[in-house]
Amino acid sequence: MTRILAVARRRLLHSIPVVAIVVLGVFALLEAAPGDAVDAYLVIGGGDAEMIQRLRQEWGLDRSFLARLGAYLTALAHLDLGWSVAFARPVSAVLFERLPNTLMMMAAAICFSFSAGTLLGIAAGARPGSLRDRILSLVSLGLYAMPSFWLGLMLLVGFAVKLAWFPLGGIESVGMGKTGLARALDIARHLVLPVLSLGLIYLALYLRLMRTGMIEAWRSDYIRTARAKGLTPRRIAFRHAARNALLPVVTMLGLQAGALLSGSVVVESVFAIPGMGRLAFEAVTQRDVPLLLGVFLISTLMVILANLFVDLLYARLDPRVAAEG
Amino acid sequence: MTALLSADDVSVAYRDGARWLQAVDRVSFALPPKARLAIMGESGSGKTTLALAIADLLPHDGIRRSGAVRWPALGGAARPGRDVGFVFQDPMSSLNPVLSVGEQIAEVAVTHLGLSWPAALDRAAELLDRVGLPRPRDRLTSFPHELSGGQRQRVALAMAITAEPKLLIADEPTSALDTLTQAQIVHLLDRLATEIGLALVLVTHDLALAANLAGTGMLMYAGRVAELGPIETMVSAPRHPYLQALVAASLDPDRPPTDRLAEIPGIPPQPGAAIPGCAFEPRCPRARSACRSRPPGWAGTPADGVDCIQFDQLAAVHR
Ligand SMILES: Nc1ncnc2c1ncn2[C@@H]1O[C@H](COP(=O)(O)OP(=O)(O)OP(=O)(O)O)[C@@H](O)[C@H]1O
Ligand SMILES: [Mg+2]
Repeated sequence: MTRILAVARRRLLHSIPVVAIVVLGVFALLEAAPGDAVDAYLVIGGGDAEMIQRLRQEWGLDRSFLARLGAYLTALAHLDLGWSVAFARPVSAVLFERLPNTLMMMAAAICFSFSAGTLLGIAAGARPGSLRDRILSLVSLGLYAMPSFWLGLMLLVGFAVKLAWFPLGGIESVGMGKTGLARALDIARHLVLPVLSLGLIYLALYLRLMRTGMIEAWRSDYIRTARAKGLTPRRIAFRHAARNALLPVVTMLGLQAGALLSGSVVVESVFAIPGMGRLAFEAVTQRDVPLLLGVFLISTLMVILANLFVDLLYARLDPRVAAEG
Repeated sequence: MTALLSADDVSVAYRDGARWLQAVDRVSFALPPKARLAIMGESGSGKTTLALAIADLLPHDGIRRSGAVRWPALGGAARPGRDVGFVFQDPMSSLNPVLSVGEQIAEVAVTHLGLSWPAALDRAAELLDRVGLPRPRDRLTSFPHELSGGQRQRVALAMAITAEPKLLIADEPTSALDTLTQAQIVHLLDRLATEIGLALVLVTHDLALAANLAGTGMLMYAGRVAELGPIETMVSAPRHPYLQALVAASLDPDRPPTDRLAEIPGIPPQPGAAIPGCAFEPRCPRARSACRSRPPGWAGTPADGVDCIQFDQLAAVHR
């Protein structure tokens, strides 16, 4: 236990500079990009020079880069994420409205791809070269080669438009006043296709990693020992082989969390889900700096937490991970 | 007495591309209960393959095997882990790195003795105590990487004897250890086998160790049994020219005590090579032209004999 806590402390300390770099980097990047929120606003509304002047002043855009950065950091230190000019609401309010949808979608995608991927990987790796293995390997290769937006569109056309098994988009059916379990089921139905298009590629990746790990494990001495001990084939496959093959797959989980965030920008757009990914897209098109910074900050924290979780899980699964260092 | 184990013409070949490598070639022997057999021979002579074939642990794919391994005293097939315990050469890689020592021992008790997990863990602690690990209770939660090589081999031994099998097969159990630890493990093996009443098959490079621990010796060469018999006569009056050379080498005090079996001039035949005569002939100081042209016949009884043409003829004269 102390070993695992030490890993946690070390990782959290390492992530402080990461957050700082993200904030400064995004701030500088947006500064370097041409145009600002007023320009974006005027594309929609139009206006004269006096109005431009007034808006810039009102939104604080007439001040210098450093002054704005300083003001942002001071506010941030008080846990204030600022004001979204695009939504005319506090950034935190907008974020926390969108966050649950994305979290739900990502959690479902990770659970789905991880559990299905590892189980299929065990099935494929149990008998390498068998028909089952060859079919699974072919399918995973196909999935792996597909871009997720294309997969999303194909799923949409197939299962929502043609077969009409699932809704076309959105996170839940509006105006039907569903509550409790009925509402949860409704949301789950809306999530099926986005989760599939986000998760299938990782399912393929986990399947391949798990399969390789299983094949390697079968060749190892400790599996021969397990057979010499007369353990059941089930126990040998799951407790001895899969337990070792799981380690590289778990490492991949942390990477998936990051990749899913960027993937959610596309998938939320395809399926019209009001989540963080689409919010990021909206913030960019409207040059809403505080909102975009908020999105990046929350995303960074999510990735850091996900990786912390993965590190702890790995330390728990592999006793050879040392506490110090 | 009914034999615990009898092997009849056991042959094993490994697939190597399009051809087959004959690793074990028509090996026969019988082992009474509680008897001890030492299998000797240089690297690649087929010792491990034979041991795996006895325990039915050979891989299923890429293998061609024939002959029979019978267990008359068991009245049926031997169950790995239950009737036969196996200790492997490398104690680091043969233990599962991510499972605790306690679990790896206890799972044998759960599988074969039908114990509950708490009871099995109690049994594991007893076994760790028995193989001489200090503070056995605390060791249950240790992982293999936290133990020394000697301690790991003690754990492997504890695992192998958990279900109190009838036969313990140890494949070079001490070659990965330092000399002092080697002696301790050998002593432990000896003590446990006596206490539990185990029959022992010991695979080793070390003639002295074999003579110390085993009653019967089997010398393998290129997958064949070169000589089989009581170990004392094998050491004091070796018959096969190969064994004679080995004994002479092991008596030489200038040589280091390890790997004496490999120090005979020349190399064994390429595995898979077709040999019309005796496989040892190219290295044999007493080779004759007949050795090249036809295989030697077994001279002696099934329990005591030598695979050499000279004794074959001698035996023919005596008969
Ligand atoms: N899994 C395998 N696949 C193919 N060939 C093998 C395999 N295992 C062993 N062999 C070959 O079979 C022959 C006998 O090998 P084996 O391991 O039984 O010898 P050994 O006497 O135990 O040697 P050592 O003293 O080095 O352990 C060797 O030629 C070896 O290369
Ligand atoms: Mg060997």
